[in-house]
Amino acid sequence: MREEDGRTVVVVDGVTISAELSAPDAAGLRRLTLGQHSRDVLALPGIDHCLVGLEGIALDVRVEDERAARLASFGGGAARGAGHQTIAAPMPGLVVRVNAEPGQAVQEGQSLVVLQAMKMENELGSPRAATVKAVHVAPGQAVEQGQVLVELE
Amino acid sequence: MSSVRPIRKVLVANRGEIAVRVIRACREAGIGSVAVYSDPDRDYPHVSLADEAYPLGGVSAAETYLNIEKLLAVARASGADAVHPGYGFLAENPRFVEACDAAGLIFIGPPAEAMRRVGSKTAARQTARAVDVPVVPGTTEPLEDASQAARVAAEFGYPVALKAVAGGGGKGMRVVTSAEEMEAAFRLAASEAQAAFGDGSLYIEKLIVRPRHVEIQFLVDQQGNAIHLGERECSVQRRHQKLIEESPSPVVDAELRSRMGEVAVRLARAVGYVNAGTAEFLVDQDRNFYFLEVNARLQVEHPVTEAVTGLDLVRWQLRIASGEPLTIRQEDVSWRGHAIECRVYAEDPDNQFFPSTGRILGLREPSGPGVRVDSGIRAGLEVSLHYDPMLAKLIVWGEDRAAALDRLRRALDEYLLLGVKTDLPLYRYLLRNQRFVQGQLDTGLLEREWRPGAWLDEELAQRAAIVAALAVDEAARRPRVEAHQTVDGRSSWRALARPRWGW
Repeated sequence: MREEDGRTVVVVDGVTISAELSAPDAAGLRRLTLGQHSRDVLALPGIDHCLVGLEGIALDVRVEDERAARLASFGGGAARGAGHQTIAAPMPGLVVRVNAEPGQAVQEGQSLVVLQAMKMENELGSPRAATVKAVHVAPGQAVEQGQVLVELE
Repeated sequence: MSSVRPIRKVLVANRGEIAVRVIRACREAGIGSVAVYSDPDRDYPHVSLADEAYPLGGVSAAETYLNIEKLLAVARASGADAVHPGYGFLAENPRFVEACDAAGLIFIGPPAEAMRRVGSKTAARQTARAVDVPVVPGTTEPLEDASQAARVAAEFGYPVALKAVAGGGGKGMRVVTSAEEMEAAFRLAASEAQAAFGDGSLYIEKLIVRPRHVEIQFLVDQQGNAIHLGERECSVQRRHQKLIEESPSPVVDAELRSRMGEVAVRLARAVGYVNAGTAEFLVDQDRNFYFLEVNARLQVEHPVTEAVTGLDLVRWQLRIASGEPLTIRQEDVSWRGHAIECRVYAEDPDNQFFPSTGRILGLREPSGPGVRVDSGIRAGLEVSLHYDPMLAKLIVWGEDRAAALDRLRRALDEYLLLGVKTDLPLYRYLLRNQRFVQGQLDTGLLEREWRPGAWLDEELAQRAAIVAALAVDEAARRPRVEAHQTVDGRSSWRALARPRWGW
């Protein structure tokens, strides 16, 4: 999910579509619009999770803010020596693309690895300007949650 | 000969959706309605819907909805002349009926004596036998030995169940599938029964394999007129709790309906039943039916019968209790289309169906053609462990079973409920289950076909994840009070959303 020209878009099975969620109406209902399709949903967001009601089911979905994830991993990496940092898989998934190679200089936000999980592509970007020290995965590889993907320095 | 005693005001001695149902019937009949409520139920819909409401003071069922003295006090204070017990609580309590009688209140249900006759399972079976109503074949006397058991089993046909005379709970019970197994099974069951109950006596019962639970609704007035309103199939159940009911039953044709209905009416007359009641049967794979028991109350699933017959059962309960005769004859009763009801319990089908408690944070009930929701809740209410956890019932009607299933699918899609876990995802899943869709039902279906989390597929999780990410993002953009937080003008937000169930 990302912003493009002021709109929010999601990438689903390689296809980019617009996504919009309205504010709750008087009855608490929100309108979800994905591309051309819309439906009524309930959504009660918390800090890092959201209760979602749609299509006859209810789920508690954990949501990670990338900014918060960066801060967390930055703090974790400090113990290994100044500047060293590991980028780990936040969820089990399939490595779709590896956009980094050892020795490459990357900017903050530059895409390092794309992980596919739950049919969504998740782009893992560099938390800061750094140099890629090592890449531990290849496209087509399945990874576990927490598995180290890339090392930065 | 009975006199007509028009009812003017009904004390609805119940809560939740059935209280709402009864109150609505009273309002339609121009009859006054009195609601009662426990402390936690003060803001529940049945309280504000009735003409008057009285607190019962207390929390537990025993302190409130089961407290006969308090209920009678409310009847006196409100000037109610009749009491409707709903289902559960005191609905099948003969002492409550007698207490109402003594207080000069009309009890909207059967007389205490009839209730007692059907209240005991063995007494009901004896009555059934006496009027030639088929029961699950079995012996009533203890078996002498394995060879007698084998002889009896040969008469019934295998498979059979050897059961302990002195107790239940599966102890001292053995399923025997052929004559060769009988000797050993008898020995083992007898020694187990001896160890568990101090009595090794066994009896034998025919085992109905993959039975269907099919029940017949009947109405009897005070003048002795009795009709049946057809069947409901309630095979989708878990630990004997019904979850889905439908009418007509996929295996009951007009001829079988007529035979079962006639049997139900015969039984109702034999026990002196008055008002609405239901006779439950097991139907085997060869479409033989066997009487189980009579439920001397209005049942949860009565809307299913209302949908296919076009009759208002609660309204008829009020009329019959007032002394009015049934104006419908058996030949006037007809069935049209197909109705299915799903019970919405506050329980977690992914976690052993444990009750789920909490505040209802969001609610959108379905509506539209052929969709009926009998609901006892509204958003913002607290759901606790004190009472039966049924929140609502979703009933759909369609021209045939396929249309009803389409409608159920559509209605479930519209049903949104946040704050407590419910069976709604289970129903969504069952609509994709081949056996259910084809009507191949039996009481073991749900246990066989259900696994926790079975309802969650990737696309659904993905859409939920998108909603979650968008909602959290939107909430995060709102200006914050903390001064040290700055919000970027152009967000480089990327959300990694993953579903997790259980809260």
